[in-house]
Amino acid sequence: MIKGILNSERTLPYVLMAPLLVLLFSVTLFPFLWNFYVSMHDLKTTNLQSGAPFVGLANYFRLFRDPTFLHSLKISSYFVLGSMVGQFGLGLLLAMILHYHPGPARVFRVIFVIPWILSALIIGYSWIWMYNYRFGLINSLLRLVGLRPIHWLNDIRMALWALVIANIWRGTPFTMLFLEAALKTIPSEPYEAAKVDGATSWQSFRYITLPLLRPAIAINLILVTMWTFNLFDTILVMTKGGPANATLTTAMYMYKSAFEYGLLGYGSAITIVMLLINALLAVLYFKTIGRRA
Amino acid sequence: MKRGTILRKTLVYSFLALYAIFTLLPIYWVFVTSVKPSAEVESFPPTLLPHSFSLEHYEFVFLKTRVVRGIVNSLIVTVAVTAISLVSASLAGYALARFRFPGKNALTAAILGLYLIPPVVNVIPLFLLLRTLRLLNTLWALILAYQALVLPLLTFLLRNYFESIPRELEESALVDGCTRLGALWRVTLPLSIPGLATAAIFAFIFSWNEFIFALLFLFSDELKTFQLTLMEFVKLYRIDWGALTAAMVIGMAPVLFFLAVAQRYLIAGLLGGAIKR
Repeated sequence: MIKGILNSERTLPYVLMAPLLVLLFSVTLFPFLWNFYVSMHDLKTTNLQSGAPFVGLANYFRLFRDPTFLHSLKISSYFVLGSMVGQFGLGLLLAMILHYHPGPARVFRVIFVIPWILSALIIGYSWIWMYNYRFGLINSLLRLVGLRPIHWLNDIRMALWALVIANIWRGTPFTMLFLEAALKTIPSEPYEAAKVDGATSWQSFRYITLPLLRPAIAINLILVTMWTFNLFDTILVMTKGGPANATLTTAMYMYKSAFEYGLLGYGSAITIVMLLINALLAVLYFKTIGRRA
Repeated sequence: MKRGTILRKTLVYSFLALYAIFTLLPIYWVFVTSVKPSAEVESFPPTLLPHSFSLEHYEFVFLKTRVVRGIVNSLIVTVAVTAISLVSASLAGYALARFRFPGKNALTAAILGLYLIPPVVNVIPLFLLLRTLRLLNTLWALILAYQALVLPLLTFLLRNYFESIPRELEESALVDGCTRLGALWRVTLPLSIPGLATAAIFAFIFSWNEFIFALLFLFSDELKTFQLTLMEFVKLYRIDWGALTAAMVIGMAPVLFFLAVAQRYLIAGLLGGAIKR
């Protein structure tokens, strides 16, 4: 019987898929669905045992009257925009350089990738140490050139930008690799034709490379937006949303609501709103991929 | 023309060098701090090159802190995560690469859809689920939760790898009287060792680096994973930077090692997870 199932071409693929599907159901799909249920209850760490009352959409209504939540959306958009501009600008420049200079590319690529694979905790601590007021490298360099040192992570006006710089450092390698791979798919004929017609290299970049790269650029921007919006690990390590909520992104606010204030139902409602924002981006993603194919 | 090329080359190389410095500076600063003697770690002004060299922080970290215990815990989690995810992802990847069956496209789309759910969205229900199963504060909590992070990526990675291996090799084994599973075991898997190794390295890096789930799902000091033990050097009013940077260097070492030996595969895999449908 078992042998029959394992050897039949009809049933075998389902048997092979089964362990994966069981695992994915229990650790991803089931929690995902349960989240909607949780978001409609006033679940707190204090009433985990006794059971939480059903409150319908109250958590959501409360959310849109919560000034801290609205503030967090603003902080998130600054954080996403700042990171995106930096990561995309640098990533595109690096991708172009690596693509057209294959010699040095081999050495430099592996160096540039390093931040992308380090743990968020190590990245966070490294940058806290870089930003340290007295002993940090950045303020040392500022003093060296005669500038005043800065309280990077404790200054309300600087903290978010300090996090953005650290995040650009961490995320640029992905954009670089992604766009470099996309550049490889562009055929060489249009460039040769342009050369014959006497185009300058700026013109062939502007009128050949950019248009052909556009779908890849769109996908890249969407992925980076999604990841940056959902990110809070380095923020948790570096500022915990402070000083005075200056770095409280939406993801960070979710973490604080659920696991510091113990409002699990409320935090869960925040994640659903975040999910909707992600879903919107995912629709854009599939639309772009569809147009590319 | 020629002067233009030289000028351009100079610009390109100086930009690459500048960006490499930007990339390496934080890592250099951590490393250099970790080998300075205590008195020099917090001396003002800080020294860019250490005046004297010392391994005292490494000695302290290895002998007098919970870091070694953390490494052991992390290795237990990592090995279990890698084993479970590698087996289930390679079986599924093989099915997707080699069989046509009703529902295949829907399943592929579903796995991709689950991959797009950001972990941050699932962290609260996952916490509640593990609590209900009484798995909170056990390493099993992490072994299960990390599957959510690695499984979809590994499945697509291995599917693509199996697709790159010619079917004919397997078919001739089938003709010679091998069963399907026999052919998978004797023919395809041995040829897929680079793909399996890449997948295993990914599973390792993800579980070694993760700390949010660990922070939320574990409470006892003895269970702390390596990343969590790093947090013990950060006290309310003081951070022991000498010891912390030494422990950070220890934490970076295996990841950098894998990057050095498997660079090409890792980069391809990182991109595959984002591009391939």
